[in-house]
Amino acid sequence: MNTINRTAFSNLKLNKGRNIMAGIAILLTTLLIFVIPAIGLGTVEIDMAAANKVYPTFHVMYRNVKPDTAEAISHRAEVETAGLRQDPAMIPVPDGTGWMVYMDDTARKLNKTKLEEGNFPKNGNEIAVSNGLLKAMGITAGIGDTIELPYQPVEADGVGYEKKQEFVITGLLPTQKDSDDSGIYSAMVTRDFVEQEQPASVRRYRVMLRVAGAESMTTDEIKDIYKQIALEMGISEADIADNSIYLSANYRDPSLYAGIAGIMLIVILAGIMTIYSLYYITMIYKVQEFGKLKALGATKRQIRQIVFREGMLTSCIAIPLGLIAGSIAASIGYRFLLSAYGTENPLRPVVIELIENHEVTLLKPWIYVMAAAVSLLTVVCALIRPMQIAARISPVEAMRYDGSMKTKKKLRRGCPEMTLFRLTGANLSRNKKRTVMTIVTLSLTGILFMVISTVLSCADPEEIARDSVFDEFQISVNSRTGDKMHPELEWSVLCKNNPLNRDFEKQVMNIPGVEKITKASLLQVELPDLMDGDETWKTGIIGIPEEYADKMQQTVKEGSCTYEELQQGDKILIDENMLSYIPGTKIGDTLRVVIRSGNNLIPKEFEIAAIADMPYGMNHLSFLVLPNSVIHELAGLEMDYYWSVAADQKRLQSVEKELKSLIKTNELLELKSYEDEVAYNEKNTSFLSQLCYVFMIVLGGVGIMNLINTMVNSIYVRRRELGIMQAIGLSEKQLVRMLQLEGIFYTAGTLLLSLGFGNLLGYLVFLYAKKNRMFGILSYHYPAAQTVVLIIVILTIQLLLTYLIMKNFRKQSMIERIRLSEA
Amino acid sequence: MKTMLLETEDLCKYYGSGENLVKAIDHTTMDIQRGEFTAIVGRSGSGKSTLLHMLGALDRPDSGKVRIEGKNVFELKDEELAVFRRRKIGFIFQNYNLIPSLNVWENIVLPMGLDKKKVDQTFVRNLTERIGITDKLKSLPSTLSGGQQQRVAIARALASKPAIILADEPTGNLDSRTELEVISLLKACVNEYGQTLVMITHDETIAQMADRILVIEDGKVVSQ
Repeated sequence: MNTINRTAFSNLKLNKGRNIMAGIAILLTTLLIFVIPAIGLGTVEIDMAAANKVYPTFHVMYRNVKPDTAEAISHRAEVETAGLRQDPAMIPVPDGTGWMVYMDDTARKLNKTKLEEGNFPKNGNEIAVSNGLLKAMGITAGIGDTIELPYQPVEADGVGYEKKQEFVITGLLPTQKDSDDSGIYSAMVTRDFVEQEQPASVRRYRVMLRVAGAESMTTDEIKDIYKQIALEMGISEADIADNSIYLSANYRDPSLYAGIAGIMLIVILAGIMTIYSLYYITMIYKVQEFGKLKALGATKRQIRQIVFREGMLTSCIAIPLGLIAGSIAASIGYRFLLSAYGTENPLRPVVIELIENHEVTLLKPWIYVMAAAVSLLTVVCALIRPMQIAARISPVEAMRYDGSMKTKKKLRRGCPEMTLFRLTGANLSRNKKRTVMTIVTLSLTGILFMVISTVLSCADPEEIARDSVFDEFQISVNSRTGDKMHPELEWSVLCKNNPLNRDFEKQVMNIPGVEKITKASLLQVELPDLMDGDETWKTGIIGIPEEYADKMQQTVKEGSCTYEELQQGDKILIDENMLSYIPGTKIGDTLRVVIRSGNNLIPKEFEIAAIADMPYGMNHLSFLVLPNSVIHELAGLEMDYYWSVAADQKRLQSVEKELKSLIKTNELLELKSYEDEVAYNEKNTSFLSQLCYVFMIVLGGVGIMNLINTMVNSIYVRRRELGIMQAIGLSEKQLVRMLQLEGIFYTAGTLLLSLGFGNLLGYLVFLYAKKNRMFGILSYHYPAAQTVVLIIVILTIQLLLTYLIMKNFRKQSMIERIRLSEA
Repeated sequence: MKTMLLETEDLCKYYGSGENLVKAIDHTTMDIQRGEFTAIVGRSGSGKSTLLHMLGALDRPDSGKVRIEGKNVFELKDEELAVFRRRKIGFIFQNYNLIPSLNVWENIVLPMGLDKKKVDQTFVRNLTERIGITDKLKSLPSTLSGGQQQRVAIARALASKPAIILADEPTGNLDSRTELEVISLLKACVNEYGQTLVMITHDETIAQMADRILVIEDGKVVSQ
């Protein structure tokens, strides 16, 4: 070991207390730097892994693709894999339908088609069937058996005449649970069978494909690519079916990455400031020692190296410990995340399975390397200034150095009489820059705490729930827009046979406890002047019931209009959120709509009367609003879509039970209760807040290290001065009072800044969150409890610190302290 | 007629133990009269400073008594001792030991402030004139020369009109011309305000200015 290392090493041991604190700060910083990306990215990854496991993994399926086009698609560079599917024939199943399906290996893989038993059919008349299908057909057979099945081949204009053929069962497909109810079955057949039934000239494939390099693409980029391929290969828009469930499960939110980076930046800054101030303050009382080293011949570089290596040695211990702590914390964090996964989430069991079987590694090597490197860099950044200070000291200056801070000030106005208070004030104002820096550093955590607290306290679960569910229950129609597989679920089709009809109303009203139904309607329209991608914009106009007339008028923010004016039928009210979709929209503009009523398209023009900011319970996320009566008139039908059901508070349970059983008979209806909505929001906010507060506690730990260091050092540096004061008459009580006063000053400063800036910033963040409807925030709630907690925590720490420091201070006698001056 | 102000009785203070035992003060008995200027001389490590700390009630002895105006100071509790000290004793240190964050005036009036006593402005002004630092009252200690700093320290020790001034090599860090000036000043002031001065010194010339010289050797007063 050379001299520099030895000196650094012995310094490490000598400054044990300080190095332990620096070590804790480095450890906590490393922990956060590790845990934040580990959990943040891990969550995304695990979600995606689960989605990959559960859902078919193709991005898009093109229908009606000719064999040669299919071949060409599979060779394109943008395509990672492409699989073929063909349904050559229909099986006439009593009370249902069966499809003979052919899929190539890739398609089976992409579609996650698995067998319960046996093998997929390969040649000739081999087949894989489900037990459900066999049962429905009244056949008893197993693998290896030959069965005779009737089928009708698919032809250009429908299905052809029934044929019969013998098939050899090679495998058993799992019976879908819902096929018993729906009566839809499938059987896997071979390519030979497809070729036998369909000549290449009429054969049309479905091509399922994955876009290459999708891992690093946003969902929109993926969509752009497959649309472009379709365009170039002459596949019509109508034949593109995206695998939306998989795409949305794999949705990557760019703001997540920005968020992770932002939080890490805060952690790094807090780390740098704490570690910096720990080492910087040590320099002050190590000046003499470095001076002596210099006098003995150490070069600037060597002095810098001593400081640097001491820091590095501390890091060598603290960073690995931080990584270990981080691994434990991240693992616990994941468990916690799992418990926060909504029980209704279909991915939940898969996620649990993935984690338990260690199929997804949450603690990735690169995160360890990254966290260690970033922490080390943090320490290096924090060390630069102390290294410079240590290196700059001249030997002569250092010998004379008595620990007092050099100020350029020559005069002080002072006071004619001295009091303890003024004495404290004089000390604090001695180095104003340092005092301010200390308070600012300590306040950063406090400010962050207040901002987070404000956001969390504004996210009031009951308020958010009440915003979207006005009464106790909401029944709505479960229609689907733009689902090419199920055009019958379009609202324009469903409304002709609206499940929310008079009969159903009677049934609901007959439930004991139900008091009132308030009905809102919905009308599907197209906005011919506006494009959504390549198509005209399709949206809905909400029909507001007369009961909400006053409420509606109160939400108007710009312009003015009454419910009665709207009832005239030529004016329309728009919600603010339309401005974010269609910027530049203003009052007085004419809005052209085309109403789709069954197969009829009726054009209509409205003047925009006013802009409102409506609760979700009123606009149901639509941005166009008319009175119910106008919708009725336009559609020529009752277009009830949302029923808000008020019920007796005492009979909520029984009402809910009855409503549920009513809804159960009609899968086109959906029931939402206020209580469920509250529970859902509570779960969301409590999860979010627990995560935030845990983060704050760790970051607070870093801040506390800083506070301890500041206090301890301010006493340590001045120990001789304090000894002198005692010699000339400062009693111990006065000394404690003086330290307390200093502490109170720091505390008050920290609180003032934390609360002042914290509340101000918190309010700004609230305004932003409200505007963007983040976390469902609606109105400002002052985080009173959190404020009290912050005050108590800071005061307690301060008092505790003063007490501990005094206890430590007493260990040294006054004489020992004064002697320092004679040494 | 001079009266007894300060006396010690069989005072002992040992440091360490066994072979490392250092008898800093070893059964010392002595007394100092009111208004007297006493110089304590002795070699380095002879126990001068320890004795002075005992006299000034800065440190407690292992055994023996220190009486100031007839009162055994070590019977007082720490808190009472601090009060007693600031009222009865003024200290002057070799390193001046001014409080760096306070200006000259504030340094001088600090002991009174700590005692919550009203500052006798006229007295302190006269004092600062007497020691020639009137133009530096608003200066911070770091801007003063060693001699000036020691004058401020003297003014601080005198300002609360204590009965005893204890000075531990007050001129140790000063050049010889300044040294004489400071000592003369100190002596004059003490005479003027009727105070008792006990001073540790290495310097024979300075010791000769005293009314009485105590020689300390190995923790014992060997000649008076």
